[in-house]
Amino acid sequence: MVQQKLIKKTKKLIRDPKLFFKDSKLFNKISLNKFPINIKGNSITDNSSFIKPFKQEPSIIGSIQINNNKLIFDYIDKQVKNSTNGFSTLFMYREEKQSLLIHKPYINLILKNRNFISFKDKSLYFLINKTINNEDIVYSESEIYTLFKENQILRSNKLQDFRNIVELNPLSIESILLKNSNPNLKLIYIVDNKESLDFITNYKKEIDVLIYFDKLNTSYISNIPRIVSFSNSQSFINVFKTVLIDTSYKIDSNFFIPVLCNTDNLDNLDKYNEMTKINGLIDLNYKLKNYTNFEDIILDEDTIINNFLLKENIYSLYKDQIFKSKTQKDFKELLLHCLKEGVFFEKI
Amino acid sequence: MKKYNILHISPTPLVASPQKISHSLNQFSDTYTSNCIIFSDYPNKLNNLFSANSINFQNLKELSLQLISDADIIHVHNFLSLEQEDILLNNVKSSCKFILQIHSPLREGPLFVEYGNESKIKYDKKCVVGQYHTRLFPKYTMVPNLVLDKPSVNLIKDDEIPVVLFSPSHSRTGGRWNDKTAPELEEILKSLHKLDIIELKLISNVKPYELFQIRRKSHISIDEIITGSYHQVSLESLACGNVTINNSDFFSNLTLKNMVNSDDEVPFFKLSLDGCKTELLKLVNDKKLIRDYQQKSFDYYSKHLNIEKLTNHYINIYNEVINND
Repeated sequence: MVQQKLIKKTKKLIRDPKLFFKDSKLFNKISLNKFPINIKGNSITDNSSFIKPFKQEPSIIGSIQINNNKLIFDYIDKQVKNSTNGFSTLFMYREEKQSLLIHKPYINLILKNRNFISFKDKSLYFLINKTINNEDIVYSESEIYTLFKENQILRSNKLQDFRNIVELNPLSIESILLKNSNPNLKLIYIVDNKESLDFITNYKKEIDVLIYFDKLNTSYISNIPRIVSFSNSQSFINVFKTVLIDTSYKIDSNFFIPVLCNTDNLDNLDKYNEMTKINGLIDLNYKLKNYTNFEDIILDEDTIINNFLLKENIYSLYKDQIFKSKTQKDFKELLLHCLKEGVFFEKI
Repeated sequence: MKKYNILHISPTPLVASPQKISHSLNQFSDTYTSNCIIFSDYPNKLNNLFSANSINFQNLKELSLQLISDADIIHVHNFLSLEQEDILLNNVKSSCKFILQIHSPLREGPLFVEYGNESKIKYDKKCVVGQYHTRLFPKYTMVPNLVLDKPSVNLIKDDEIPVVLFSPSHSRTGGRWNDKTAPELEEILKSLHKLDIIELKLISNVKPYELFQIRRKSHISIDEIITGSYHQVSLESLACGNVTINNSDFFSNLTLKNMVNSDDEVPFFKLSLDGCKTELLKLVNDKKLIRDYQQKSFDYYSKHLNIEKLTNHYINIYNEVINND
């Protein structure tokens, strides 16, 4: 029996070596579990070349780079399908050597999971980042502003059909420029090396989610709404999927969830659940004291948040922060952050 | 006696907002004289619409430089380029103080950078227009936009068709804060107009003074119902005793209430895209309701948004900056 199987397998190996390795249990185990540790040694890149390429290579919508303080954005106008608007993702990666996407670390894992809504053909697009050796330059806000202002593609809001911008090991600021082209875009960074982690600390307030390899020391990173880690390829793909579900719009079922609630029954909650524009509800007591600035109104001790609710898609983005919040001050800081991000609040 | 020169400087006319502050300072302050310089006017259709009482730097360079060197306080509006900053810094006297004020920017995104932190000019005070902007610049001192003209009210009569004024300044959409128009709303307004239920005045590119006079003759003004902010239009609408339609949210209203230091309900007629048809129909068919809101608008403006009172916001800031030596 065992012998027969061996003969069969050997025949298969000779007949179609690619298929043999693709079907091999051992190979699948290697390719799924080891890569984050081996990321520089490109062992995965070599192994995965045995996988048959997909019939349709995923869509690359162009390339972007900063060269001599000018942003060059070669953008191929793609009709991003609205059907998955909420889950549509633009994935940016650095091209170190030319190869099919399926041969690249991380991306090959994503492409193997194409049944997931965010990774389907119509939701996932790629952008090549061609900027090299830029990590030592720290751009000031006004320099970012100038780079943005001078680029017509960014100013014309071409990326409005996307929800997420994901960049793998960022070392330059293109993704931040992209994020700023539309108020609904969320910026997600995947980081597995220290170089990149050091780089992003300069731009913390632009980042919505950081996904990092758990061997990295991230204790000095704070003030990012959501920080999650992964330890191997399987946990990476799970974490990444969860993050994408959390950041995406849930158009058909997006309900209010209490962040801080002092009542069991809120009138009109059903009505507000149906309103698509409103994604925050607030009830606060305040005393007018001719405050000079907005922050003072909110942070004053006489201002008390009684009820504070967020729609699920906002709630899930800030859930780590919400779980950590204990005092009125914590919730007020969260409220100020939500307001700055543009959450539309209604008084309940 | 007028002791100090306040110079307002902005890259563009900013729909005449700096110039209005300058004007009312000259009118109401015993201590401050003021001028307003713009670095350039709007192009095309908007050219000359908002710049009438400002000095254009490009046309009157010598006078502008003279005013800059005479200034005790330079009040900068919005973002200056590095070259424009240099012009100021190379010509001011050493004791000159600087104030920055953020207005609504044309585009979103990185325009909301905390420009004041890295500008070459060291600002003694940073202010922000007290509308939606306060939540984006929560540490900046909030200041009001001004309406110069006296308030009036033209209450609708029972046999009149309500005149509705809608004057969106642009039709871009897709932003968070700068959208002005929604196709759904325009469609409803146009069909109400066709049915003779309202008289719609859809107006753009008209001089501010002319628009204001049209507003005085109208009964209802629509600001915008998309973003959750109120704008200059709403303040002018209150001044003209119009029903003021917008979607100003809790925090925009809170900002306004704080600036006028009164918890009186702001008489905006709140409308959002959800259910705006029903609400609008209810309003235009009820003359008593319209009159009610018209009167409330006029009263609120007269009581709280009085120009002299609002100008004091600025005078207090100048006093503070001057005395902070």
